[in-house]
Amino acid sequence: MSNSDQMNNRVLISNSSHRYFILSGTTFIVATLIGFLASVKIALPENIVSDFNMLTLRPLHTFLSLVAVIAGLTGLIHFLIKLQTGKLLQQLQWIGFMIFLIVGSISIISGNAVGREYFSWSVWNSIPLVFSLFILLWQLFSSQESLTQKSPEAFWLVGMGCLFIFNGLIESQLSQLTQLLNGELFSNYITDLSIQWHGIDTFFAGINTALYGGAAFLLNSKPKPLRKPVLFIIAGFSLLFTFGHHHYISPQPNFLKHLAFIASILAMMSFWRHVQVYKKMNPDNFTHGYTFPIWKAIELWTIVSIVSGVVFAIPQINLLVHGTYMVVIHAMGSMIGINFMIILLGGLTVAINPSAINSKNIERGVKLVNFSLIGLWINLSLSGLTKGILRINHDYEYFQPFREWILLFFPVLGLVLLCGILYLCYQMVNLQFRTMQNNPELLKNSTV
Amino acid sequence: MNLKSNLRNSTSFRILLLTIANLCVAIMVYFSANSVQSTDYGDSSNRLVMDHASRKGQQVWQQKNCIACHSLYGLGGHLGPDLTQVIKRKGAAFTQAYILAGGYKMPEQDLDKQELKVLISYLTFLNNSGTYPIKNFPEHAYGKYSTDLSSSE
Repeated sequence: MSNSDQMNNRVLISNSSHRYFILSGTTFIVATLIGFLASVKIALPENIVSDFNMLTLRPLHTFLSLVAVIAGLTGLIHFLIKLQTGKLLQQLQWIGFMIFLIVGSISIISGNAVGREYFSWSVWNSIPLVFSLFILLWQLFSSQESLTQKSPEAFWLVGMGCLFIFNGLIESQLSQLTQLLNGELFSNYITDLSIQWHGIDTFFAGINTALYGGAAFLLNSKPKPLRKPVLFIIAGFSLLFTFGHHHYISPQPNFLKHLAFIASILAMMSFWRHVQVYKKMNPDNFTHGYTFPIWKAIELWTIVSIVSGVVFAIPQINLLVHGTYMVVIHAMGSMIGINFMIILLGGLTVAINPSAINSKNIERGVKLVNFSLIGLWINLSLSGLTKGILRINHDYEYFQPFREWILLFFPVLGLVLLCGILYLCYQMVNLQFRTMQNNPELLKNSTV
Repeated sequence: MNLKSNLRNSTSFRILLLTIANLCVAIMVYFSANSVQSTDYGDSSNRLVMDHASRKGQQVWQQKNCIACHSLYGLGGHLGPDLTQVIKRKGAAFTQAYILAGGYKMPEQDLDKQELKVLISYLTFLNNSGTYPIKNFPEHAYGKYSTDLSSSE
């Protein structure tokens, strides 16, 4: 490859990476705004019935959150790989992703959201997403050699995560397609439920794993424990079998419940390591000041996520928290505290000159997000736990008014979260535009 | 060079291994969920198989995006009540009227007669499939109550 080809490719990586980060930042803002409106609707449903329709708000919120995360992950991967697949595939991937986004958004906004939890779009609209993800996988594995040399464990995480995203989506959509075609394959309700949640769990486990791998690349770290076969087997086991704890309450086979329980509890193995990392975090160890508060937030919310995930997977506790807002805040904390933060870190790292980023601004934004997430954890846990306890002791509808005052804080904290995400995404998106306008060919594959 | 090659091969092998394992788990889940429950849960399996009308009703449930506000067995939205046993609590006629006319927090739904009929069939199927939410802690750690209709009595 000649020098000019290499330079052109760097420009391609730069532009491609920036536009995905711009898309990710923008959709994160819109998704949070819609989430805020939904929280208003939840807190004051009788006052705002016709203005905000939950049939649109909820699917649009989950859909755009997914788009934001996948776009951010794609931007991160484009930044990491040495482009080997040319401009045509880049464009096709972008077109596929945009078709998915536009068609999905239009159908949901027009009141025609269909599908299942988290996948609220038509099965047919998954085709452009599958196409786009396939190109991403192609690009990623074409760069396997250079990425493996840099960090085999990080590549393992990113590569496997992306394959899991792909598999989870296909699995989920194929089961829906079979059902739409009036097949008898999923006429058993529990089979249908189990496959649905296995698909969803595979998809989200893939997103988390791939983003962790991306973070390891950004930190230029080599998560060596994963090199040990025993720890690899434990990590793999956890990835494969946690899905069962999503519906303990269903009569799925008992051995799947036992496997889900063991797989979930094994996550505690990484708990102490994260606590140690969090305690030893020192701003002097980071090249750029802005990365420290973000990394600290990522470690903090990883610890919270692990602990809550393990506790919620204990069957007797699961009986209390299942179907309550406690599960919502667990998912929300992981999505914002970890996934969003890693994408933010990637988006900021793409800058030509990361030292020009104002660390105070980033710190301020991270503090806002942390504050709101802590508040939401307290608020939604109180609401969720009350529901869980009273659900067992009283009639289901009896305690609904009792919880209403607690939920009044939900939109207030949601507004703070919106401000934090808006503030941070603005920094990230603005930086992408500035970098694109200035001199994209100066882009360096830097680390933090 | 040899070390690098080994590392690369090991990484590829691990990715391939887990991807195949994940597909195998999906297949195992499908067949085990279809067959094992009859031994674990007595005669519950018949109650868990949807007939044609219920399956059509499940499609209406998905097409109308009912999951945005309601949950089944606690899975779904939390704005409205869980509808697993709405037929038992409110009755089919009331549920049918409420879906069409809407109410306190719920907008009216534009469903034709056939859609409404199969949706009620689906909700009736769910009603008979188990018990949710529970009113007391079950003996079974995971909540075997979900097919034990007597526990709600």
